[in-house]
Amino acid sequence: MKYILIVFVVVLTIGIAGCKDELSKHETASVHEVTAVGSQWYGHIPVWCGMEKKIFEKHGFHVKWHFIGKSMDRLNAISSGEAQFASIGEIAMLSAMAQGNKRFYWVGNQDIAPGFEGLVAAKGIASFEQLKGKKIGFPFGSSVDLTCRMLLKQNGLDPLKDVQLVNLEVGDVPAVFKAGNIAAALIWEPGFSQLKAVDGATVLGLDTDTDVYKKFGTMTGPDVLIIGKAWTDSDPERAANFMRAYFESLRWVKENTDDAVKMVAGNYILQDIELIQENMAKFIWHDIDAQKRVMSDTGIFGQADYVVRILHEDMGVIPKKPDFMQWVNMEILPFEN
Amino acid sequence: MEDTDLTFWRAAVYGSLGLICFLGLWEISIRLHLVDPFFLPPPSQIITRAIRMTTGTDAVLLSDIRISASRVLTGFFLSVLAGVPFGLVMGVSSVVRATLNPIISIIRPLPALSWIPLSMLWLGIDEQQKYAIVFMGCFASILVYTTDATMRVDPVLRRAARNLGASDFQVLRYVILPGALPDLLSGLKVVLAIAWTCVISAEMVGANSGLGFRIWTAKEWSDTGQVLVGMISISVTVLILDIAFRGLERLLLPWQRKVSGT
Amino acid sequence: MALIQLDNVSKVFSSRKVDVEAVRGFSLSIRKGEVVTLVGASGCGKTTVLNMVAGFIAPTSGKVFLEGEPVSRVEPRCGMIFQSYALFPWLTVRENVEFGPKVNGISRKTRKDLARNYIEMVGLTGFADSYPGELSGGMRQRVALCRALANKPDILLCDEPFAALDAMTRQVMQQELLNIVSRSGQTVFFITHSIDEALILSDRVVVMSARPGQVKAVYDIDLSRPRKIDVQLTDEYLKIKRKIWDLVEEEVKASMNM
Repeated sequence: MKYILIVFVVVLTIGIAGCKDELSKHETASVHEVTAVGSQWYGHIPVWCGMEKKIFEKHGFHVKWHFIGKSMDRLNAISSGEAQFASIGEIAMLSAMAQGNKRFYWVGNQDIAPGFEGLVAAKGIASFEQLKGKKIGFPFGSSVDLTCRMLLKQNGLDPLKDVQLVNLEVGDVPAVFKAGNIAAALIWEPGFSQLKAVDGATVLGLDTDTDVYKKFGTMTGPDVLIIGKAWTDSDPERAANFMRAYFESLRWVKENTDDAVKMVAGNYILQDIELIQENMAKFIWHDIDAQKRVMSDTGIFGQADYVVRILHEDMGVIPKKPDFMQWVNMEILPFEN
Repeated sequence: MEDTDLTFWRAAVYGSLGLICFLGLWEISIRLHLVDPFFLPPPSQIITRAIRMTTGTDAVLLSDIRISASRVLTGFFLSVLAGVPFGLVMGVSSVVRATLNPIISIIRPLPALSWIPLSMLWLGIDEQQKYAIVFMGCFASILVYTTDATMRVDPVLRRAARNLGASDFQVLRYVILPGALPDLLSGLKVVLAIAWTCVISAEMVGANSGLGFRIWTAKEWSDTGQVLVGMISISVTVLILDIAFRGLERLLLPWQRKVSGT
Repeated sequence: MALIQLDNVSKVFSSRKVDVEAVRGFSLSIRKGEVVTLVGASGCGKTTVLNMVAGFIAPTSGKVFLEGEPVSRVEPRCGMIFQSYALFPWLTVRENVEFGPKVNGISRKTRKDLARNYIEMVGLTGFADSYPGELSGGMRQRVALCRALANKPDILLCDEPFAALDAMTRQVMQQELLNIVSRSGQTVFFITHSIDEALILSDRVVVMSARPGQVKAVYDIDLSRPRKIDVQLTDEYLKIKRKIWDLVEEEVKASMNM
């Protein structure tokens, strides 16, 4: 008797759980869950505002935000299928391509923000020459990795022989610099402002001082948009709708920058609102109309060619030069004409 | 049927067979496209990669192993130097034990990783900071292992020594220390493995050399092959250190070897 | 003057829950050169008496005197032989024997000679560099005997040293102890639950009552020395054995009814 009761209860429980699962599936059938990942960087503002302004909701998406500080970690999250959409640094994307990761599409370049990262030297160091033999800290494999190496080379230093490069976590860079453990550091905003604010710190160079900027007018590692390949291929319509929502949000940010900054300051970016406003004045958003122009051989593709060559031939950090065009997918972009 | 112990050579043959099958399955599953090589490079690729990293123009692997091992051993020896005497005293004196136990209970569960922010603040990112991480990861465990080993020394032996006229110090030096040594050494062997996890954590940030650094950097460049070479290097190095440690054990405990022989 | 004097000694073990009275009003004196054996049922407090003589534990009341001075700490002049041998497993036979002289600051040369002599005396010369773990039980107890004697104790305290040995080895060990005693006149205070062992070895046998342990009877054993195993067949031996046996049996019964 007791066993019958137990079996009954178990069957009932499984039944109820099953029904509940079925029900919830039906409930969410019209709303697509999307996980977007990113850091505190300004380039993520369109995602945050799209969530706050319910622009994604309007298009049938429920976007969940996860903080992941490093580009490569975000890319890995998308490769694993746990996340679907992210803005990352171009360098991480190119090195993943070189290693044969085919689990994502490159779908855009949403902004250009030169002058937001650079090499800051500690008190008492006023020239590149003085960095000889000293430690320079920054997150390896990021845009500042390239910025650093290019700046050093342009100023007559060998990045591998003349200085010691130290790998740091994104969030650790300002603290380690402030504690005086390294002679110089590189990071992007909001950390860059913290570096500059350290007593006696000197900016020795910006990404705008690099050959990349001089040649292509972009940062060394511009922001790129990537989207999960499997998620896109399984329902291209859905992916296109998502990109429509994203660019709608981006346009709103572009046209209402002050409101957007108020929306995200202290919430997604822990930085003084005045500083964000000041920085945003130099920030250029590429809306959907601009994508055709920037995603071209005269735009970012030309720059990527150049960067890939540096990564492979000069730095030797990627095993081959990937044909990145295989990853580009502009079919899901909501061009209006 | 009763399971009997195999001879060394037979065990080695079975072990190699197991290893070869494992590597074979691994290689085949990638060749048959069951696994994306980006996620898991095949053994053949890892081996060629390892050869390149040891013999090529920028042969960093051996110096990385040497650097990590010296960090591990330095931090480990420092914690032995501090932990063993403390542990002996704790094992002998219930008052000291009761006094220090709460502090140790607080420190012991902390993973080495959790010491990174503070250690960077206090010691920066130099070698001392790496040693400190290893030290903090090992110290409390060594203390506890030593205390336990000390307390397991047969009290009759202490009694016998005192009966023969040994002073408190002589009891500690001639009875408790050698009596606790077997348990202490097997505890230290466990802690040495822990020390490796610590050094890999320590090399995650603010490093420019070492196996941990190599792994974390490879991750930033999405270089799974190099990640695996680094991981395997850790395994092999720990294995070698373990064998060395066993030799030390045989050297320090000749009486145990003879007993187990009879 | 008595070498050892136990003067109305009592011992109560207190734990959080109960107090156990192990020994009550125990008085005994042992003269120099005497072999005294304490027999009694297990758990009667024999070992407690011995531990108080050695200074391992302090009496709750009463006093233990060694050559007229109260015993207040672990007393190296009372050499102990433990039932579990208590040899240091990490030291060789020689090093074990040398332990006492070593901690007492005897020179390396002297203690080496000392150890050699004692090891030779018990016939373990070939095993001087062996570890205790490599020896049989009887051999280990011989090493323990050497170790205690090498320290030149005023009195040898033996806590059922042969209880763990097989019957044959035990007899051999008893003879060996008798030889040493008769040669050196060593004072011995011996604990056993074997009446035969007590009768073979002793000048006096003290019968202890069940817990709390008290002196129940004391017998002088006048059996001629040197005693051989065949002494056990004499009428004299059997008579006294019977007397002690009856007493002990009484106590065992008493303790079982408790």
